[in-house]
Amino acid sequence: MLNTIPSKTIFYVLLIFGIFLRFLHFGNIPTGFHGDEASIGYEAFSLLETGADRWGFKFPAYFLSWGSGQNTLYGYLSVPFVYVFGLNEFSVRLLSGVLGIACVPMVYWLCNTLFNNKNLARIAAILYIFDPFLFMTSRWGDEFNIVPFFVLLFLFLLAKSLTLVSKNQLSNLDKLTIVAVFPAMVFLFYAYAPSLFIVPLFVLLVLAFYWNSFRKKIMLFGISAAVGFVFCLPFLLFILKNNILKHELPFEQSLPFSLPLMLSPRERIFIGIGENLAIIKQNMFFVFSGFIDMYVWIYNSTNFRTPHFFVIFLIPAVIYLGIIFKTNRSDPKNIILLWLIASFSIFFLYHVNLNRSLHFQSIVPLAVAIGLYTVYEKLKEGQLKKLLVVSAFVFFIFQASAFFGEYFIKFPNYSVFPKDVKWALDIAEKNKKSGEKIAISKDLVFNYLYAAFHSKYPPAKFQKEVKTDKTTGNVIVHSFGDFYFLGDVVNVPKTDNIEVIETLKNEASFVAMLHNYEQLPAFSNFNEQIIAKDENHDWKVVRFIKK
Amino acid sequence: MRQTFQNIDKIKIGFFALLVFGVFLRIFKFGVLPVGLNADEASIGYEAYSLLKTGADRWGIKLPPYFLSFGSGQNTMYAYLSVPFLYFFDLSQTSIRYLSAFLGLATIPFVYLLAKLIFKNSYFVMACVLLYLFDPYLFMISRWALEYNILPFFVIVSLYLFTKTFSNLTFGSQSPVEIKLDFSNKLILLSTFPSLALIIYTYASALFIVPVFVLLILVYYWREIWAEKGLFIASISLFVLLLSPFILFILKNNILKSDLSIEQYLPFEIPKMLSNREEVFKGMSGNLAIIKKNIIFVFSGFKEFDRAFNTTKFYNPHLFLLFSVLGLVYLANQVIKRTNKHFASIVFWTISCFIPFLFFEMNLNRSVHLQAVIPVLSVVGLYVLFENIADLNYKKYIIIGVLGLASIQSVLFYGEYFNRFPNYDQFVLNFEPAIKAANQTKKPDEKIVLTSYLVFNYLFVNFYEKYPPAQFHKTLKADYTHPNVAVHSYEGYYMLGDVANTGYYLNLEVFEKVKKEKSFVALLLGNEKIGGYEIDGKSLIDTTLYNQNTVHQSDQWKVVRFEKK
Repeated sequence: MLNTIPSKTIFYVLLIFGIFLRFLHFGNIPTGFHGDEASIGYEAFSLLETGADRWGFKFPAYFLSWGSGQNTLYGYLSVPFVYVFGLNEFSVRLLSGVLGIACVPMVYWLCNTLFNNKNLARIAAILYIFDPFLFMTSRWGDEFNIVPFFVLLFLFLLAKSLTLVSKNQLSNLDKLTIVAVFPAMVFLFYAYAPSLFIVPLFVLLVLAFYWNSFRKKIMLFGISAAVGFVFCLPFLLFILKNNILKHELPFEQSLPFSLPLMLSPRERIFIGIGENLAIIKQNMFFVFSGFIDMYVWIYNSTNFRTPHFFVIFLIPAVIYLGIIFKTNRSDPKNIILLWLIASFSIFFLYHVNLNRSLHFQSIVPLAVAIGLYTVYEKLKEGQLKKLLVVSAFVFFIFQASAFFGEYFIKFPNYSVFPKDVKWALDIAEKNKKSGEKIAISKDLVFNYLYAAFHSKYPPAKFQKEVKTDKTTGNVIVHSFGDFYFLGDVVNVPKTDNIEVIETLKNEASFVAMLHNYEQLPAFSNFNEQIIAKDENHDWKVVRFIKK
Repeated sequence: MRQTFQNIDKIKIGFFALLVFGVFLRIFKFGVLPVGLNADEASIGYEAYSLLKTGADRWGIKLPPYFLSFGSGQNTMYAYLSVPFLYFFDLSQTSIRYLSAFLGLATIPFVYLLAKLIFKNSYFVMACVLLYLFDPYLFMISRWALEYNILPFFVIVSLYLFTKTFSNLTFGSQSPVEIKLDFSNKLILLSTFPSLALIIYTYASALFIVPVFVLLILVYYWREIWAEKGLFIASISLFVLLLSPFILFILKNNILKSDLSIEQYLPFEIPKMLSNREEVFKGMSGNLAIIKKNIIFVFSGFKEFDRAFNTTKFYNPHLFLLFSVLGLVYLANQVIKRTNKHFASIVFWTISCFIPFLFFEMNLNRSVHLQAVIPVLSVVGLYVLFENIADLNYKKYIIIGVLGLASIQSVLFYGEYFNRFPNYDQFVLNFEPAIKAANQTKKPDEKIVLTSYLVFNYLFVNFYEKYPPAQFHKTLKADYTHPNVAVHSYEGYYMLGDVANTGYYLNLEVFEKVKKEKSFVALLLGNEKIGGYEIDGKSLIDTTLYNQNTVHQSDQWKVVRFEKK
């Protein structure tokens, strides 16, 4: 019935156009560079150069990062890109771009494996490549932006394995597929820590409903679980150290990797019934307003604000999957429903936004495709089917035009990430005289990371020279090399680095990189000489010379 | 069979229970929510009050077809229809909102009648009524008094009249049938075109919609119209007659741009606007930029983020908006194929509503003509989909899913509206106690001096003080050289200026007069200093010459008595 919609040609044309859009102005949009990107980029650079993170932890299971931790997978997987393209905005974002595209064949295979329906698989693939939120995440380098790929990889391997269990003769590729299931799952822990709540719940559900299937190939699944466990061990030990024992482990020295102790926990899960209920209520607004992220998260959402197309079709999808589940508890299709349930669990635990619910968002376009397709299939009247397709297609074209138009034309002017930092740093470095220090504004979150990143500061040297204060829950960097940091806006209350200011006061002159609006009253006995300042850039570079 | 009847009864009971609950929600905390008073409400309220007391608007213009209002005009329908409410309940924040609530609820029976004409299915009709009643945006506008908040009523009535008329004449076939219309149907036919005039008086931007709608109707139904040409000519004549004051207003203000020679013989006066509201053609790139913005607005689901009076944190103005697309496409398909010709009025109206999207930057209020039909179209889409699902089991669960979603969304929306929405910062708050305190404090000959930081300050005074309109007409001193009327003073009151409205506009004359007063009472913003008004760094009023006594203080306002030392 639906053989021609979408026809193969339309599908491939749309697919190629979608891929083209994913890489159009890649690296330049979003404009500016986020502190998280600078952080994960410099971690990758440090791993490449020294085999340790920026603080010198050898192959850490979790980065200490700015104090409360950062997921490692993005850093490790970015090493080859940083090696090939050098350390820059493009190379740090490339992993997101590549794995974002790789989601498309993954969702196609997943869909085809479960539903044995190429049309549905094509619709899902098209919705994936054009999905506004997934598109946006695939263009910058925050560490959790690669979650969708690993969710789909895991679900695909699981789906494939569940369809293979009834086969008597398995090929080597089949066996490898089954063995790869649990290791693939473990990637999710390293990609984004909320997996800790979602994945175990999902595994429990899967074990409960597919135990009979697993038993048929218990050996292979056993090997898979064992490999997965070994692969997961560094992360489990990290959790043991940081969240359970809260002190060093006795055998840590003999491990080939390190387990940094965080300076502060990220977020508490249970904060009292009233507060948790308030969080659930807020999260329900988020869900039932169609996953709208508001102003604070503009890198997730342009003016268009709708993160997914046809999100309302989640309802018929859940109903259709529910009916299958009711009819046959061990149908492999059920894994989609079980993942939706497991990934939705975090909506009851803490305040959720698009990023934090990435595990769930990752399969929304797939579920929407299932919803759309089943409604279409269930319709009895041929004419109405056509109308549904026409209206959905027209709506999709308009929505997509509205979103991509906004993204490529106006979004670059949004004030999303700090801009022109590299421009100012380059000028400061070029103009500083020998022996002069470079002072960096305190009104730049993770100022030291931008300096390290853009100057490609050798990580071994950084580890040796860096002077820090670790008493506040965040690592506050005072200085490394010639770079001196005037303060830190992340910590509340805003802190000036008094020591640094005192050090600079003793200098005959120094170069400062400051916001255009910024003044340094502490240096009133210095004359200011503007090196670079104009209206087109957010920054100025000034030489301070003692009177 | 018995089972089925029991089910129907249960459904009907459920429907009536929800209906009663929906009506209850519409009037729950009415007048109090939204908190505060909007300048447009103050304006239309005082216009109605002035019409009631003097038969003229606040500037003394007799029965105008369009108010001069702030200077660029305001639609008149709301004020004229509010006169009876003000007569019975006097001028207040609540009484001026009664009309919105009343016509908001009065729309529901017409939705019922219209729905019955679309599909003769009781579930469909009930769904239309309930979705209309609980629609978040239509609910919100039925609770305050922006002048075009009553537009959905006129749109639905008009669509009912047109749909009824043409369903009488087409009877589902392609050619007009010889039908003898009874008296009531003749009356309905006669009312069709005049009802469009009411829409224009309610919100003038319908001027861009109604002509296109009329043209489409005339072309599509020309056979039917020709078959009843006598009645249709009468209906159109009534439309022209009813609209003639407005046509003269447009002629004077937009075409001739001068006084009309016949004006003195008319039983009403035609004001001359001080400024145009907005240019229609802004140049190719200007209009294209507007269209682009409007496309984003439409395809993000009509979400508004910076106008808190239209949308709570829930953000979705309508439930099941997406299905309105399917509904429209379905109806349009039937119209094109001429299988159900009487659907044409709704389809043509919806299409015509997109014309202003080509010229003006739209928001929910400005597109209220379109918003008024969306719940009906959404139900059409949902209904058509349900009707065509063959798998009964799947259909049952889909219906449960849709009802579940509607319930959860409604709980979220109404929960937000009644719990947290009162704390949103939207309208002017607590002005009434401040102006009352000022009046109680002032001695008989003293003047009250009003802050310049309240847009249309004089209107809030007149509204809350029920300032006699005739006295306002007589003693008013104003400057008409700005796009908005800058009110300087009237008996008992001085306005320091209008900073928010016309840039940094200060009434320097007024400052001179204030300086000559021995004492006066000032109503100012909480953190405002009367000595803070400066020109070239020099304070306009030297406050060191006065003893100051603060007699009223709230989060927003303070009332201070100034007495020369």
